[in-house]
Amino acid sequence: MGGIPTNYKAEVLTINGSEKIVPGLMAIGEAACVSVHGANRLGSNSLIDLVVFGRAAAKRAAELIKIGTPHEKISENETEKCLERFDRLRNGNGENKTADLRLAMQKTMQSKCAVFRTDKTLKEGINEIRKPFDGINSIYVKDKSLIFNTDLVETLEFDNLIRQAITTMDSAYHRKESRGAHAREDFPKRNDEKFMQHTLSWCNGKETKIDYRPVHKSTLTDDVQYFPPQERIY
Amino acid sequence: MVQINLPKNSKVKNGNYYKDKTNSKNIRKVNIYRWDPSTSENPRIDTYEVDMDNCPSKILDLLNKIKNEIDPSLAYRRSCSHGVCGSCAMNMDGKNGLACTKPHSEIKGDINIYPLPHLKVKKDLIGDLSVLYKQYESIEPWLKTKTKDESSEILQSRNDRAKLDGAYECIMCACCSTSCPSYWWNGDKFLGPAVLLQAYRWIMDSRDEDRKGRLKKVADEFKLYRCHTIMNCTNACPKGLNPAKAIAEIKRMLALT
Repeated sequence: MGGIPTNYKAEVLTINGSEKIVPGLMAIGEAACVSVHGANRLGSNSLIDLVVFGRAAAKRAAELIKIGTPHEKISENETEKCLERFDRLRNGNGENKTADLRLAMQKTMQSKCAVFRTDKTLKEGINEIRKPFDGINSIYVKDKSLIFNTDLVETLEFDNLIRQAITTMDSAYHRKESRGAHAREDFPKRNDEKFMQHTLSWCNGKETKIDYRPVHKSTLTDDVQYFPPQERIY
Repeated sequence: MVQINLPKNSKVKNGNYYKDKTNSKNIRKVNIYRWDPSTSENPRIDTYEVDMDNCPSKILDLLNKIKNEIDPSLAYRRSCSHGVCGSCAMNMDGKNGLACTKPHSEIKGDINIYPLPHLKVKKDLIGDLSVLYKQYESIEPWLKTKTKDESSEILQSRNDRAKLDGAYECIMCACCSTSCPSYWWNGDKFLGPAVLLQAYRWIMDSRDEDRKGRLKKVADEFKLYRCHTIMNCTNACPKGLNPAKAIAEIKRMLALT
């Protein structure tokens, strides 16, 4: 299911021609997509992320990190970017309350990108979900203080969530098949020929770029064979 | 002659009044303790008129409604919304409890909401629990074994497992400790009901091999014996647990060894 793509050692992957590790960046648990769950992560299966990949991540980190190595220098630009975002949101004095934008986002995701989706709902959703995103330009944060400012925290959370929502909507629209948790009423069947691959999405503001990464069709050892997925029938 | 004064900032003033803007016919007044640590102003009580026709049943729903629709600056902790995380513990209508499990229909008249009593306030309804967490750490809430063999599980019989019932369910919300007069008085030295219930949970665990050490550690006139069986803790617990009984059990075990 969705998440930051990683290998089985919890190292984050990206594609640049072929699969590539992003040095120094790891992801795990609900944030990550190790690709062991297929297209749907069933209840309690999160245990594998806790027990197996928690351990794997610790082991890999211990291998990679040399004791006493200082942190790489962070460019002034990056720090500025973070502070600029923080100040922009904290000093927001517009007319859109965070709670209202969040509710609009929730309602759009619930009605247009629900469990069962169609081309029509997703297409509408693609436009509609960008409205609360635009609303950030005129956001209102009442609490300007710097101690336990839950108003600001919720605004920062919303800023993260809305990008996630845009990514989810656009990715779902482009996957014209049903697989796992993604159920398209207009495409009830799985289409392995075209879509047995991971969706990759780059989000830049409200623009997204959608690409695909093939799934692994081999096992790590010879002890077990590869099981090709089959149609689920009851 | 010694003159005793309360600190200036201990006086709670009347704050803002937020009138209903929805023209609702079903209004309730909600009085909430507010304090902003970044100003030098005294704490105040803000009053909100809330449209109850469009408000779900629990106090937390009421707070969310106020935060989302009337005043986003209101600060309180919340997370799970169904009584398993313990974040939204506060004092409602004079009684400690979890805002997410307490129905506002149980409260007659105006609804008064305060932070948990006798904690330092961080902001609005958020109390400082750092002392309680330090005390929790001091009872070493983890399994201690002397055998080094980690190749197999440590088994526990059903009977032994049942001995932890009533103790493991504690969600550390601090409703009990902050309702205890002994804890109000000696909160720095008395461990308080929440932490003692956890101490009991580890003392009773059949897999733990440090029962004697654990008992010895709490056998202190302050840590344990400041409990005077007032029973406020049991009365306050939103999970229906009985910390007072666990404390009595610890005392009994110590008396018999």
